[in-house]
Amino acid sequence: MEDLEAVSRTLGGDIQAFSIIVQRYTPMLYGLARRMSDSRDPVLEAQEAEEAVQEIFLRTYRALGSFNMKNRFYTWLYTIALNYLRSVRRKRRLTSIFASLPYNDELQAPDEVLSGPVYPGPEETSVNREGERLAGEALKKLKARQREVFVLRMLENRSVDETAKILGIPEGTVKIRLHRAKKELAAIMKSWQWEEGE
Amino acid sequence: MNCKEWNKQFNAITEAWTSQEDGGDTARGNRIPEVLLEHAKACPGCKARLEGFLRLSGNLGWNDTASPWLVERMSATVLAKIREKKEKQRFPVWAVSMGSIAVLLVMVSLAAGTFLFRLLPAAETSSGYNGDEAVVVRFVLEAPSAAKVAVVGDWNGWNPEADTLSVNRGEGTWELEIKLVPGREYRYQFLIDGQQWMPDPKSILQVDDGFGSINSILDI
Repeated sequence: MEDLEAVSRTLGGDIQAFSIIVQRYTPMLYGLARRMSDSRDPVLEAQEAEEAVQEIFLRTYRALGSFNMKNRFYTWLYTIALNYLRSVRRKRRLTSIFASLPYNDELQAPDEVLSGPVYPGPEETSVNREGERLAGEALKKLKARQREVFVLRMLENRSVDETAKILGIPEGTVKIRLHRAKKELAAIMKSWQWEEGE
Repeated sequence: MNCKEWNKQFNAITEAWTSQEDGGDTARGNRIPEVLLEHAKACPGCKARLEGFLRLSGNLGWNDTASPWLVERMSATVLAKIREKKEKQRFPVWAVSMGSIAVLLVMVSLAAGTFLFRLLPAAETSSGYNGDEAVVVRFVLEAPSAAKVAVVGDWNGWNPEADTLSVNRGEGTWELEIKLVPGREYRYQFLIDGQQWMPDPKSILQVDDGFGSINSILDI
């Protein structure tokens, strides 16, 4: 069943049709939520991502009546998702401002990536996980606006045009932010040091 | 090749990646030199860096993707919440709307100096838009930092573009007058800058929309 048919059926009262949308877009939204997360704890990041995706779907369901059937559904869905993820980030920032000092210190602890990664062992899976950790930590260092563009464009493989529509910014801005994000990431990657075997 | 030499070549690759024109297809297809791969095979640190780069450049998938179990769980949870909210919504909404109708009928009648029965025939025209019977309703919101404010409700199909308020820049007050048919209950929210939904802070009647947000109720 195509997206628009699922939307129409849901609007017609067939709630079950909405499960098709949920099943189709959960992997994409979950990946997006994890890549956009500021959380430093992978377990917490996974939990928060799952909760965020759930909330995004509920908001999407509530707003279905306002969806223009002439538009692409996933572009609209991404916009809702990013707006929600931004609001979560804003709330988190407020929480950190008013949090007690020890907690704040913990949040701002020096990053392992810059001081040199710790490798748990030579096993393939450990290296694999470490590579993912390095990449995830690097993404978290980007400014939120740059990260949004980078994730959509590079990791979600959306076109410049789609990315611009989802974020509501001009295509030129997409290109500029992407370029800056890549420059920033290259600098971070340069700081990853591993001396053994030299 | 030692790690120092490897680092140098690796940095050159990432540098070249940043200057490539565009996004989605950049590092895809970029060949990592064989000599770098050979060293990485034997060196877990360099291999981890290479894997990090390949993920960021979209050449390698992420492991933390949603599992089939998560997808199933998500589907079941979301549908259960929708059904649960719909069930919960029935009674409270009915109670609020019946109460609000009674209160507002009295208030409107007194304010207009009319008798209650004058509004009763109008209550029958519960759907459709009829310009002859419509009354002017004015929406006002104080939002000095907003760039755009819309009132979105069931009369305009929850269309964020249908009813946009005009601003008085000096006061930061947004206003719009629209015509609505009396005799029914309308639900609405303000949408600020296309992102932030909020109920009308001046509305007397508000109701949980069942999805974590509050709708204002206009009963005319």
